[in-house]
Order: sequence, then structure tokens, then C-alpha cells
Amino acid sequence: MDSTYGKSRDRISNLPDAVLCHIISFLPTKFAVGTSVLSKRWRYLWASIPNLDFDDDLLLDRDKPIGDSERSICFKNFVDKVLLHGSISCIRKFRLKCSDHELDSAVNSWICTALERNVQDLDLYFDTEYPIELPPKFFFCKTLVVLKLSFSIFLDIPSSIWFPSLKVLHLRSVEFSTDDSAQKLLSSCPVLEELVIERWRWDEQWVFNVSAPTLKSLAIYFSVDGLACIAEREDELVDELDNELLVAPQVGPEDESEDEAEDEPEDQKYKLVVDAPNLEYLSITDFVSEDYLMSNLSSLVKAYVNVGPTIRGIDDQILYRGRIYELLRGISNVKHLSLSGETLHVNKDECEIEEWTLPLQVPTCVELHLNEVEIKKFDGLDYELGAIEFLLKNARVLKKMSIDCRDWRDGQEFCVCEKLSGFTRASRSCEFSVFCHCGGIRMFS
Amino acid sequence: MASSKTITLRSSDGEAFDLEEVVAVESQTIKHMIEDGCADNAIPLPNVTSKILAKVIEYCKKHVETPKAEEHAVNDELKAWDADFVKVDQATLFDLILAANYLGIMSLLDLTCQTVADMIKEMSGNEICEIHLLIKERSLEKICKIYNIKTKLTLQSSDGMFFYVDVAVAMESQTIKHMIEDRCADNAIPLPNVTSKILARVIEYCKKHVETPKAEEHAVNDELRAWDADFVKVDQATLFDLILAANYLEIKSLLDLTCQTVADMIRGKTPEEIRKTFLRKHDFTPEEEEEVRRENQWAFE
Repeated sequence: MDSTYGKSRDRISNLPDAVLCHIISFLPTKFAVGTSVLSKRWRYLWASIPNLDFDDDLLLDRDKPIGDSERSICFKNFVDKVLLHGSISCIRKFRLKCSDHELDSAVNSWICTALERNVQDLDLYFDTEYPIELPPKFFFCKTLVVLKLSFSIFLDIPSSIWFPSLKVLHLRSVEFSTDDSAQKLLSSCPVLEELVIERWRWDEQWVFNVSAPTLKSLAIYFSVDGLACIAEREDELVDELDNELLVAPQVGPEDESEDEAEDEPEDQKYKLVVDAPNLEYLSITDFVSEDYLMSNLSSLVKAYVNVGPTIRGIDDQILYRGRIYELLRGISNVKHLSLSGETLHVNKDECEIEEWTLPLQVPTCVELHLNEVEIKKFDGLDYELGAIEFLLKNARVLKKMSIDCRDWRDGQEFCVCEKLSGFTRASRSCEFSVFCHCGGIRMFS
Repeated sequence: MASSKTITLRSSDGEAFDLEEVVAVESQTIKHMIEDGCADNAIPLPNVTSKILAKVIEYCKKHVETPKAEEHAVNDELKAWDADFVKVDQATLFDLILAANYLGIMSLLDLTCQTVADMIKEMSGNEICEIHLLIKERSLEKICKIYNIKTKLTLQSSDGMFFYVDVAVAMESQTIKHMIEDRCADNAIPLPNVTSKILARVIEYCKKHVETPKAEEHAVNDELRAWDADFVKVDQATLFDLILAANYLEIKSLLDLTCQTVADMIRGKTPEEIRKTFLRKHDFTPEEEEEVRRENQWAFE
């Protein structure tokens, strides 16, 4: 044994209690409680941490043969015990991930306990067979600042609902009882700043209304057929999602001739409406909405747009293009715009027209405000070049344009670069970079 | 009689300014450009906004118009005008320093830097902290050094070594920041709890984090994350010393990083494995240990 053995022994014991608790606070509750058996000093350290993170998926020994119902009881007893432990009187963060529907009444009482203990950050993730309903007192929680609800949760919004402290809200493909539920929920959050909405299934929310005067940041991920783009985050879940929910509601009669269309009842269209005067950051990944109405986005600084036609198909190319244009027009004050190649590619399979029809009027955003454009997933096709030419010709205060060709094979970007350098530029001080496969960056001044 | 030629300057935001050559050559940079024949068209100044350029031109005009004071005499009126000229907000003042430096207008550089040096003497601790952040933001350390504007402070480790650190970097530590605010940082700050080996690492961490441009909202700086991951690849002894130092100096991001690292080492391990990793003393009797395990059964499944 070297001479420092004695010194380095128990170095962790040299840390003050507060620091040990800080370390434990980074562990899910199961492992945090597990530290109780390390020594007398550690026995109750975990109990003073106001953060609780329960995940019924965590098993120390995966090979241990333990039946489902036994596991269920074990998990329930554990959570009950931890919550009963008197010293955590004020829960700051409460995360619960559960896939066992047998526990739904226990889950309800656990959520009530968290609410009673003035929880500030609530994260509920259920992937049970049937959605879980939230207890009534949930809808009046005064202390909630951050709320994250994921998947098998059924939100039956009561007529009176109020979240006076809620600043951050993430709704990941939850189920709403009525089609104005989402907006009712938003209207009950007087200080909401950040909103993330994910939608992974077809539902009856034809009009998704985001009207929030205090909102600063909005991220939308609507993608049912495009699951690949977000599947990387939730691999297992994608497999488990009920396949029925992935079948799109039928589009109206196949006969598309314009005269007859007037006589048919209007097809339901998915529409996204956003009205947020304080919004600074907007990210839209949307393969569901067929119509957009963006208004009052006067504070917008940065926007990322990745939209494309839905699996339901496009009824009319011109109309569809017009809607994309409306979307871009609605965000006309934006300074930094990031577009995916998908957005520029508005003509899918069936259509013969290959060009990006230039809008007759240059959108104000492009002319006066656009500072920076970033094009990801660039394929070098004609309509994309057309769009870039349009932007370069009209964006007077453009400072930076970067195009990502990293997926291309080496050297392919040459001819594209030549074309790009030939375009007229309205802004003299624009820095133009093309990111190449080899890792290099070609710059044009 | 030489006809006065007009020079056109173009600011970074595209505005054009016309001025007489005799005024324009107050700037050494522009003077050289004219001499090299590069001034036939508008001279672009991509580093200077129209707001600042307007002020700079105002300064140059005034100084050209005022008859030169005789040797050893001071033009009081001009001095008073200069004093008024620098009564601007701090951000504008620093932008003027940058512009004066870039354009090579020495008298303006002297004036603005001296103003900052005088300001710092009068400032409260809070304001000092803000000034140092502005200096760091605009990379003005070299200029400040010439004008004896202190941008560094001295830290002394437990083993007597001295470290000279930019104030903006030192302020990553809340403990040191409070000392600056309380004006206790004018001499060397002793840190009896931190050895030189650890202090060097902590300073390295703070420097990296101050110099890396803040990730924009909703973006994660992957490069910085990778750097952090490398930073904590150290032996256990050093890791725990870093935790203690981060705790004592109140550097939240470093404390979180190091504690998270230890938590990751604990996560998923059985108690026996944890004890082995950290050479934990084991003071439970077998009966006591059994009791604890029973109490929290699911934690041990």
C-alpha cells in the first residue's frame, strides 16, 4: 500500500453534507436511496433532497427473475415509503415515469402528495395501456413553475383552471378531451414563457390554437408519418405506439375538380394558429398542419422552420405553396431564419412543376430584417437554388448565409458553389459559407 | 491653394458619411489609405456602426477646427468640450475606444481610455464587475494595459503561488465576485483552501467558460460539452479537490459538473461496488445493514 492510501481513503467523506447531498441529487431516487446503506452518515442524506425521480424501469439487476405484479408492488411500496418520509416537506422537483396501469390509483395519490407539498417542477411520463387522468386539484396548483406531461395522459380540462406560477410547459402527445382544451390550458397560464408541443398521433384537434401573450419561446413538433426525425429520442416508444393512431383520417372525396368542390362540405383541415406578441424564439417541425395563421409576432428574433406536406397528401400545389408563404410572411420580423431543405421542397411526387414559384411581393422580413439564413439538408436541386437566389437578391441586411452540404460526397459541391457565387447579392457585407463533406468550409466574400 | 477633397466613409450598417480630407486624416488608418490611393471610392469601415462613426467624425471636426494651442498652453475650451463629449453610456464609450484604436486616432484613444481609468477609481463594486465584463466582451485588455486600467487581479494559493487572472474570469467565482464588490480585491486574494495544482485547473475551467461565446438559447454548445467531459477525466483525488474548490469558490457550473461526474460513477452500482470505488468505511453491523435494506427494498432490487 502506498503512503497516500490512508489519505486517499474516504476522500468522499471529506466533503461536507451539503455537497454529498448535491451529488446524490443528480441520481434518480432509486439510486439515491440506495446510498443509504453505504454508511451511517449516508443513511438519511438522501432524505433531505427535495428532488424526487421515480422510474419503474430501473432495475439494478436485470437478470433477476421477478414477476410483473411483484415488481409493481415493490415499486408502489418504495414510492409510498419515500413520500411518507417526513423530512421532505417541500418537494421541489417530482418526476414519475410509469408504464404500469395497475398502479393508476396509487399514481393519483402520489401526484396529490406532490401537489400538497408545493411541488415546483412536475414531470409525468406514462406509457400505460390506457391514459391516466390527473386529479382535480392538479388544475389549481399555485406552486407549479415547470410542467412536463408525456404520452398516456388524458387532459380533461375543467371549466375553471388556474396556474399562476407556470412558466414552462411541455406537452408531449397527450390526449385532450375537447378541441379547445389546449387553448383553455394556455389561457390559464398568465406568466407562461416557454411552450413545447409534440404531436405524434392523428387526433381531433383540427385547429391548434396557441394564443399566449407572455410567451417567449415556442417549439412545435407535429409529426406522425415523419416519426424518424424524432424517433432517435424515443426509440422504444415508437415501436409501442398504437398503430391505429397512425392511420390518417381520410381526406375528402378523391375527385378534385374545382367546380364540384364548392358543393361538397369543407374538409376538415389541420390548422396551426399562433398569436404571441412577445415571442422571441420559434421552432416549427410540422408534417401535420395544412394551414397556418401567424399573427402578432412582432418580437420574433430567431426561427427554425422545417415543414412539409403530410401523409394526407396535397390537394392543390398552388394553395399549398401559398400556405407556406403565409407561414413565412407571418414570421416577417424574424432576424435569424433557419430553413430545412424540406421546407423549400414543396413539390412532392405527383406534381410535375419543379420550380419554386417566387412570391410576387418580397416579404418584408426578407427585405429589411433578415440577418442570417442557414440551410440544412441542402440537396442542390433547382428549386432550392432558386430560393437561395431569391433570398440573396432581396435580403438587404443579410450578414450571414450558410449552407450545409456535409451529406454530399467530396467534390460534388464545386459546381453548386460556382452557381452560388454567380448570384447577385443585395447585401454587400454578407458572409457566405458552404460546409463541405471533408469538413472544410468554403467562404465567399 | 489645395482644393479640399471630399472623402466618403461607409459604416458597417451601410450609411455613407462625407467629410473633408483634412478632417478624415485625423485618422492615421484613413490617412494611409489615401496615401496608398485606396480612397477614390467610399471607404468601408465594417467595424464601426453609423452611430459611433458620427460621433468620431464630430470629434475630428472639432479638433481640426480649433486652432492649435501653443506649446505648453492648454486650450481650456477644447478640454471642456472633450469632457462633455465623453459623457456617454458605458457601451458607447467602449465602442469609441475600439473605433479610435481601429482608426488610429490617438488623441481620441487617449481621451476615452483616460475617462475609463478615472471612472474605475470612482466606481462601486457592482459597477466594477460590469465594466470588466464589457472589457472582456470587446477584448480590450491590451488597450487597457497601456493605460494602466487594471484588468487583472491576483490570487494566492494555499502553497504560496501567485496567479494573475483577468477580472472577468475571476468573477466566475461568486466568492471572488463578492470580494470585488466589497472592494476587498485590490491586493492579492488569499485562498487558503486551494492548492496551486487545483487553482490552476479551476482557472483553466473559468477561462474556457468565459471565452466561449454563450450558446444561444435552445442550442447546446457541443464543443464546450466535450471539453467539460475531458476536463473531468482526472484521478479521484483531483476530482474531489475540484469539488471542494468549486464549493468554496462558489462556481456553480463547475460544482454541478464535478458532482454530476461522481453521481455518474455511483449510478447503477451496487453498494459493494460503490464502497470499493471510493474506499468507503463500512460501519454498519450486518444486522443494521439488513434493516436498512429491508426499509428501502425496491432501491436494492
